[in-house]
Amino acid sequence: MSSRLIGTYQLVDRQQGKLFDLSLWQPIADRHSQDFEQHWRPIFDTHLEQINALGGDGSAAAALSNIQDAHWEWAQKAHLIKGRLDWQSFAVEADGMTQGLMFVKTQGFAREPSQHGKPLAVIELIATAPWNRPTLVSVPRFKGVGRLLLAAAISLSVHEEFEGRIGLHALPQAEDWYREVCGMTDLGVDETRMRYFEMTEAQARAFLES
Amino acid sequence: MTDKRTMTLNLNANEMAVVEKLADEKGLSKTALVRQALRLYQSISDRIERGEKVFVEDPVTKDKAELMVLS
Repeated sequence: MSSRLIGTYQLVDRQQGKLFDLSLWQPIADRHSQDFEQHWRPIFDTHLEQINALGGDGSAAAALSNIQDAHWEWAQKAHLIKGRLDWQSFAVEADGMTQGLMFVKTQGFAREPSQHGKPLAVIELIATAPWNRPTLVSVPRFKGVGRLLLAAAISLSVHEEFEGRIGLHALPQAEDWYREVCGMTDLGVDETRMRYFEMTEAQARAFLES
Repeated sequence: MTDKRTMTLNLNANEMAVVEKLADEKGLSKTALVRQALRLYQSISDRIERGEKVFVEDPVTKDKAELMVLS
């Protein structure tokens, strides 16, 4: 299935101080995976080398630098889920460059008590480009790529009749964002040793209206 | 996913009762429920075709039972 344009959205380009058009694509295409390998990964690798050169606890330093996702194999994952009905993927583009990536599984069951057992969309991987991260550059470029992808996951959930319900395991550096900014319910650390968050129908509506 | 096809699904009364009960419990239309069931079936079949085993685990006893799928 070829990648199709879902829509175009305006986000703040903080480097130029103006609104900029970003496009949302589904599913992730080869060009998006290539951008990760050729443009994102070298930046992650440079930071990881700097962390290693300083010595100490590399994983803790990586967390502080917000690059715990540096090892994610987007191309391999995209290949593995080709033809699968229970996976969807999205990419955000601007200026001919991939700005964000996300994989969503449409086969989860909710855990939050008010919606326990109901189907929901599970965000398995979500990431914004390194130049959009405040921990990696002094003036990150696009503000809101993660929010745009989260809104896409909620829209997918609505489309699948899941009423906007979504769930995800958060990397430690993103926990506050999901809890405080997105208004998701924190269901604690589970067997994956990561903190699991869920968004109810009401929380999804509030997120989209905010 | 705008490219949709329509099919007629013949179910006996018991099967239809299960579809209606699950659709009601999950808050889905019957179409959405069948689509979910198809995804689950494909997901499990793919894993078994790759040589993996699919288990369900009792949360208390941790006993595992292998999920069998017609092949």
